[in-house]
Amino acid sequence: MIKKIISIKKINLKDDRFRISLCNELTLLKFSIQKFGLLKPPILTRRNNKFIIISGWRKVLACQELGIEKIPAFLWNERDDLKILLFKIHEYLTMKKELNFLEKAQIISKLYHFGMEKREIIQNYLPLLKISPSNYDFETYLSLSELSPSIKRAILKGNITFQGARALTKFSLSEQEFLLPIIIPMSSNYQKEFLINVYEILKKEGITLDELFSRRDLKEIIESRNFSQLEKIEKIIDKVRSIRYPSYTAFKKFFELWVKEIKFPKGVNILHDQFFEEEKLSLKIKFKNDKELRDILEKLEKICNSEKFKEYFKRKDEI
Amino acid sequence: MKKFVIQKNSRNILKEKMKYKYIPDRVFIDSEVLYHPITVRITNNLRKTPYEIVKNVKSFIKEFNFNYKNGKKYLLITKQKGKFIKPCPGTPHYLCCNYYIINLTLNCPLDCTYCILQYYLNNPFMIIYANIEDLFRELDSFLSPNKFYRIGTGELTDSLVFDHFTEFSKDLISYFANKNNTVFELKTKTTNIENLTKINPNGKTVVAWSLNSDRIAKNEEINAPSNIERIKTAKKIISYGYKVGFHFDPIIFYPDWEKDYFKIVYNIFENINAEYIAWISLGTLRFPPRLKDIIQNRFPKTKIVYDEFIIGLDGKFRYFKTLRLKIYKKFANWIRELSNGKVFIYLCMESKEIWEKILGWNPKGKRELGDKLCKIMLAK
Ligand code: SF4
Repeated sequence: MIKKIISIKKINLKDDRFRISLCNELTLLKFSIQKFGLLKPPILTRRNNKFIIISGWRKVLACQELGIEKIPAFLWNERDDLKILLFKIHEYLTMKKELNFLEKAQIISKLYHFGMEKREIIQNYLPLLKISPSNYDFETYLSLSELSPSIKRAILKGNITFQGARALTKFSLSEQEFLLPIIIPMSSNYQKEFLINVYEILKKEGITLDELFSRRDLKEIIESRNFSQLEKIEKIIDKVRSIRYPSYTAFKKFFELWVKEIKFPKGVNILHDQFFEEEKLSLKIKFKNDKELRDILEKLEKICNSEKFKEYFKRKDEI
Repeated sequence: MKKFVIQKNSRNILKEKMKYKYIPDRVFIDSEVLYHPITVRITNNLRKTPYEIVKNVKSFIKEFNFNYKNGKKYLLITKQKGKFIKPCPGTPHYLCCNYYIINLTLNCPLDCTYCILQYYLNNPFMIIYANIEDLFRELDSFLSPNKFYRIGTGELTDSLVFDHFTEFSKDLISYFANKNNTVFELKTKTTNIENLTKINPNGKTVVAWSLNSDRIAKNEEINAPSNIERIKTAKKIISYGYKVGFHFDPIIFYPDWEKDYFKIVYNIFENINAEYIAWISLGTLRFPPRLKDIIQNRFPKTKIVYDEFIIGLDGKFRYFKTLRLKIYKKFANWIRELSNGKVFIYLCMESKEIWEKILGWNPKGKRELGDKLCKIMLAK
């Protein structure tokens, strides 16, 4: 490798074949370059009469933004793309802090598209990237690398988690763009659940995303002026859940209403397993002394004799 | 070891072959069983299929980078080094019927979208264990004269799908024909009963067919014969002294399920006298979460995983309880009415609550159900 002074104009910034990190945050780096100069020059190689970047993307971009026209760079005269990529990956693995999942996805996708056998990637590279060496994980990361650019930006900003991103890979690029503003305000748990529910409704009913969100009930929520943004999101999540799981959500709502209407005494909680799969309900009573317990038990006895109380058991047995 | 190029249209070729009988593209023979009489029998029956000898089966399987689908074209004859007999794994919180499984063959060339083997097996080959004499030794010491047993081969394979070249049915049916406390069950979706017609089961073998609605059989049970072919085959086998069973498992919910499934239940009783039916079991679709991903990847067109599933107490997906109850109730009523209550119904992997609500009783522990099924069959 030889060190040279290169004009930034001669670098083809559109060719990102060796780029792994998609981070474009340059503020600190620019500050450091202004103060100390470019201490570790980027590494470049030549393709089609232009230079392309092997490593040091952010450095080159920062210099460009600072109006620096010429920079020092190492030139590596190597024609084999895969060899360069492997060098770069090993450099990453030895030097960099923990890779984020998008960087891992980029590495896997590049190895694959540069011609490495899938089997070799799974056996040799997934473990290096701390991913379990399975076909399933290989495919997952490959599809993460194909997410739309705006989704990738949202991931880098921390707005979408791994689980959410994985759920998004099932959608086309235009569907991803459509869903992005809806899922960004959601907490990470809900992103995944919501996306899976949406995807499965589309699959089951054979409809498009547009058609789903043009349903009257969903449209009314989206267009309503009576809810705050957060309330809207909550209602959308609920609505989609009830479209996906109609019997379960109806039963759950019935249960919640039943508990509310019965008005159990203070300190009493009536509990069910998550999906009402168990036959029995359970009762939790908190009390501070014998008198309080007696009071509660008396009230509970009255409740047990009420028609309202029996409603739940009737409904449960209805087929 | 040679590597094989997979023909592009191999899936279609496999389909064509399956319409008749499964013939592998190539047979691999573990050198340990090269001269075993079962190997000789199989290679004689598959005279036109090329074969290759394998020295180290473990590393051969590891090196052979075939996926689940392609593996269906390759048959491996090897030796069972572990136990042949295992209790059916069951699942916590749901009742099991105390069934024992014989693993003499593994995997299946049919390709049902919902098949658990896609998730369960760790290699894609169709495997035949040649050392059947070890199985009989194991059975001799396993079966006690004081207990009842229900034992079958159709859990990790289809019991008859390889039978035209293994002829295992003949060996097994003859063995069990002399056991007074054991019911042997062959579970299948095929019409491959030729060998069964050549031997007398002495009332100890039930041949059971898994049935589904026509729509599910056509779209989700790839390469399998139609329901009516299965029912007609069941009718035929009765005349050779066998009792038959039917398993509606997995029952799959979709908008027209009721009409479609009723037709099949009706077809059964239209063709077969209830006296000859040992049992009908019912089980709605259930699957471990990881199988969902496999199904989605392998069969992107199927919709079966998108219905209203919840996570059951055993961690598997199953339909929400009210839906299961509705389905079972219908089936139980149809069967009771059409058979005048003469056919024993049981539920596969269901809770006591559902047993009670649908069948009006629930077995106290798995022995009770297993014993009951044996006694019913042996008394028929
Ligand atoms: S017949 Fe049974 S074993 Fe064979 S693919 Fe279908 S479900 Fe699986």
